Amino acid sequence: MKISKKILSLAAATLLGSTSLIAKEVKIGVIMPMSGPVGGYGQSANKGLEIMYTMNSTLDNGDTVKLVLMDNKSDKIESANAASKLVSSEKVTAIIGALTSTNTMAMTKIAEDAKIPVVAPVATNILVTKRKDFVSRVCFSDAFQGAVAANFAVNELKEKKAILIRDVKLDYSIGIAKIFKKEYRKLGGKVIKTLDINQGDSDFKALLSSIKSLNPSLIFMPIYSSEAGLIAKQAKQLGITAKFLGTDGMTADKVFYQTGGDAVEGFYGTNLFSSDAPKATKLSKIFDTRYTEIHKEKVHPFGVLTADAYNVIVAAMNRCKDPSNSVCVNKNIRATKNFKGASGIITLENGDAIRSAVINKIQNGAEKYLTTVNP
Amino acid sequence: MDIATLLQQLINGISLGSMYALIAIGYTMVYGVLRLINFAHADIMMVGAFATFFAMDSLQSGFVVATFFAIIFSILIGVLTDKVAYKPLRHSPRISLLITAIGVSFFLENIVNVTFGGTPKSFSVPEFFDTIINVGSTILTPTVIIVPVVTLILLSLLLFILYKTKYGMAIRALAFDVKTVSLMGVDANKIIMIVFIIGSSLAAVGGIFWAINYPVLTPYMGLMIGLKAFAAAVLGGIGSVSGAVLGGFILGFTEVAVVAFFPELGAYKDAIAFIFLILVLVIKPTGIMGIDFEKSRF
Repeated sequence: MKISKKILSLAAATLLGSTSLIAKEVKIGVIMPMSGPVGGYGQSANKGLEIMYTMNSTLDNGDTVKLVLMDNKSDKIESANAASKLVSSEKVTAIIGALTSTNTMAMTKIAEDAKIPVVAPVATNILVTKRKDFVSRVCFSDAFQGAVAANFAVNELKEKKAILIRDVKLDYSIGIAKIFKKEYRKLGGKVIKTLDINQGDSDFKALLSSIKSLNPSLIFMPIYSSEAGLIAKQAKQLGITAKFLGTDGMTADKVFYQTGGDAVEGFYGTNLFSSDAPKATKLSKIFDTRYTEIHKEKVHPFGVLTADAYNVIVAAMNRCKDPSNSVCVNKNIRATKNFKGASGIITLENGDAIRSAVINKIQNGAEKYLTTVNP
Repeated sequence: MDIATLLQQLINGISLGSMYALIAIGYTMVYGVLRLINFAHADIMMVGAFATFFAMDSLQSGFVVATFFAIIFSILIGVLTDKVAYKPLRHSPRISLLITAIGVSFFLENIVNVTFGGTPKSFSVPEFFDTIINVGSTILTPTVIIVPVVTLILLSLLLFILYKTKYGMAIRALAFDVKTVSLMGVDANKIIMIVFIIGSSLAAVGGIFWAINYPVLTPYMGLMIGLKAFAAAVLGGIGSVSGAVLGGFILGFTEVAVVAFFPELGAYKDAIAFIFLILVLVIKPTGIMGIDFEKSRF
């Protein structure tokens, strides 16, 4: 009896030892701001990721995928720390994150050195993927978004004089402002004045009073939700009647609508995704139904793109013989072509997704889809 | 710049300055009595703002009730920090007290961060405060009038307490010499508690006004506001209540003036405000109204 038990356990041990027979676990690291100034962004993104994960958490060869979520507290140093931890102690195969451009750029070097692929869901700054072999993104870059905004301002809004408000603490904001200026000028527009703010500021009355005296008809502000909401509110209090145009970061946190209240009505915004736009893929429809069922709200652009960052990684893993081989996974991520994701069809070129942007107008406290702009 | 814009900017300065002033008073009072830079003071302000938010959002109470709730809650937290964190260190070196204050500040920030989830919270401002009043071409909101008026009323009330009541006399006496005053039969701990009650209630009022004017609340909102209010207190002469109010207004005006006259330098407004502070201190190290550091208080 004793001997047979021993033999049995020995056999079990051999079985466990031979990896090919039993499914492995492949880890994907997720770095998100779950708290801090842009905590709302991370929470929305995570909603989408969780839904996608419950829909598909095993690879074709039977391996299971495990997500390791790290909160970067909206901070760049914390992002870099999270990446080091994911790479060295969690031994992840790929990383999704860190949402905002500044935080993503703070951690890509670590992943790049360790040859771990990073897929950024919504970091749109041009520099995120520049000269990086292991960094890709499933969103467009601001080279496109800036041009879309400039085009919309000149051709649709017919406004050729604009004030630009940028947040000098955000690479995102500085990058997009630069491109907007260039494209706007090309189209015959003129930026009368560029004004700077700092993320975390709350008093914009002095700034807005100066703006008011210039009597502009368009204000372009590629900034985040909290500041945008406060600016909207204070602009209304000061009686500024100019049109406002923002970018994807503006509407991404509901604090923008709550703070702005009726002051944000009529604002325009470019965005990464709209659930009201025609859906191109089957997955898109399934995801949409699931998401609205669970969260009782429209699909958040950050949520669906984070889901797609996950999808792209999983698809790349499926095409590798060893899904935990990060170099192979990276190669396949970057070769993504006509991938049918939850947000639409994704094709990566040098790590950047070539995809369309949408333009929304805010009506009754929500985004109303206006149009889609193709690259 | 035309007259209307100038007037508008002047109003912006008053509105911002009075908010700094409210918070600066708390710094100056605690410093006067305990010689402690109470870093947790701005966090009491944050707690006040969050308490109002909590009462209105979760308890569905009206604004007035929420205000009282916030003030009482902030007083409780303020007194509690004194009893738990500062009182055991009364006779320790001041540096220990200072470090404790920083610890209390972190503690309050993180407690709020955990309980409220860490994302920015939007404060639903009562409609009354959103009414817009047109005076000629300048535009006012009720807070622009209410905040400075309340600040001045509270300042006079405070000066009255300090100079016309027994408790005020005790507070002023404590500022000179804690030991001797205790020997005279004054309960020093009780008086210090009163100082914390006054300071915390002012911080709560400041927090509520801040929430109304800038309705995005974060657990770390006290950090920058606190630095500026502290700078205002130093500028006015730390230890002097009227000085703190004056310093608050000066700082508010400087900030607005930087943006008003050099809009392109908007991102540097904090830096310029602090440079201005340094300049004033180089010329007058005791601050504007701090006459002699060791001779006079309040």
